[in-house]
Amino acid sequence: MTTHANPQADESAWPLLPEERTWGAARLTLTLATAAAATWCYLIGESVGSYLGFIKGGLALGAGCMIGMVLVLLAAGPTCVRFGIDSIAATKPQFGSRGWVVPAALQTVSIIGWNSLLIIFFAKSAVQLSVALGILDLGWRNAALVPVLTVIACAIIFAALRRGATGVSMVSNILVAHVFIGLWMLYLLVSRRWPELVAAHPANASPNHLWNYTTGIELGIGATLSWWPYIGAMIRMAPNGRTIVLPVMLGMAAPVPLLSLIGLAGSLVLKSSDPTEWLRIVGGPAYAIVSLTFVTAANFGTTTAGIYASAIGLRNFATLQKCTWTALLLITIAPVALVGIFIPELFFAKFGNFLALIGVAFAPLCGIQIVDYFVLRRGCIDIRAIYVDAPERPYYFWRGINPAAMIALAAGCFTYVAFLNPLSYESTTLYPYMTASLPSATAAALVYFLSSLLVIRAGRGGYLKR
Amino acid sequence: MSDRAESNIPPQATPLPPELEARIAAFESAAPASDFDSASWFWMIVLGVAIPLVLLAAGWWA
Repeated sequence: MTTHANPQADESAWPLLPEERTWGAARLTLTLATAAAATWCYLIGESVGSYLGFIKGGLALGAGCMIGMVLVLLAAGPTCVRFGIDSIAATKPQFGSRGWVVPAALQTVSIIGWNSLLIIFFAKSAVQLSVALGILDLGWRNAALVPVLTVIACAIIFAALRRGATGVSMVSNILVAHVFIGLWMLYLLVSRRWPELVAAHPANASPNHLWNYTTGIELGIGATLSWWPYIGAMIRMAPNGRTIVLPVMLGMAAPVPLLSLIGLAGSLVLKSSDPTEWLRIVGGPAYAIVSLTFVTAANFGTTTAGIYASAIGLRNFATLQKCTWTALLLITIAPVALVGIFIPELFFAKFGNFLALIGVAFAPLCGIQIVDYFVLRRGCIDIRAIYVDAPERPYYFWRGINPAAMIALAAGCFTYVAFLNPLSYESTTLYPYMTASLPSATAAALVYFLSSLLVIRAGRGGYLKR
Repeated sequence: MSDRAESNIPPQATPLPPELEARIAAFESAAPASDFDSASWFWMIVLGVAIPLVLLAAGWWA
């Protein structure tokens, strides 16, 4: 049977043929950098600034981001880039031909949750920008504009994504400039407030210096692990493993700590991580306008990539495979738009904690995928079994579910919460020496490895086919 | 049904869409695609292990 490159292939969750994977390193770097840089960068920076000073915080965060990113790359990277599939399809060898709905649910809730937050940020920033430019007056009516701007943003994202991954790349090419605006903002703060910055003390630092330092590292690891749901949909557009490593490590992992320094510096010196607020203090209204432009562009780019990744993830559901791309996009964008229209403030206030809890699952997920691919399967993946849900296929396990992965995921999540409560930041005595994400990934990997020995003994999972 | 008996059932119990079938067949007939080459591993070790260790040491002693 022969195959031809299909221009709409990037709108499905099916494997992309080598000739359809046309993104080179530069294009992938631009797309990943635009996706990574968003409002969360200065929220991450603000969190680190609660415990660490500028230099220590920046270095701990940078190290954490690089460590987290390499874990994501090792977990999702090999299968996604070999077969041109997304992060969710790459979990079927571990979770089973039906069990993959668990990581899919994590992905959908995480991406749609974060995208809703970012799109509300976007709408609020756009309102502030209009006020700063004199287009709007200050007043209560501006709050009513948030839902309107949310709908407009969703409509623009929908229009861009009608072109599939090309739309993501197109948006990235336009919006990547905001990364440089962000770096300029950082330069501005550092150059004008350096003595204060170095002398500033973090507000909530623990007396235990190691705990503070480890928390800086943990925040970095956690931030980049949350890229797991996004990464597959992007790297599958690249032709091979060599093309993805530098773009992922430099395009996605490096901008996050660099731009987080904006929030870190702002929270230490001016007690505000919001660059819009402190740029007005540092440079006047013109700088505030630049900053607002940055925030608006940053969140728009990230949301576009997120909606695309989420839509591709949803394509793995049989009922959505035959859906037109337009209808699938509407299904993916609708929850984001509805949240922005009806409950923006409530969502803002309450959903952040839920997202923190969801994020706990990505470290064990990475541990499971790494041990499965590199240790148990030694790179031997049955691409047909990823797409066939039938008892005779190896990834069917038991009724389509691999209990080893479910137990390992639960063990990893439990380990994380035992080491560090992501909401209260209460921690165990071992946490300062080990972080929470690394033991969580290790525990999940270990439990998965041991329980998979029983799976192999039962002749399930296709481990003996090598 | 025993495990062995189950594994003897011929494949293709569920028909795939023709385009997906063609894509899978293309992968199955081609040489196994590789994941990371030695250069990729080198950069992953440098950027994901060595540089973070240097940053951590520098940050701790800063």
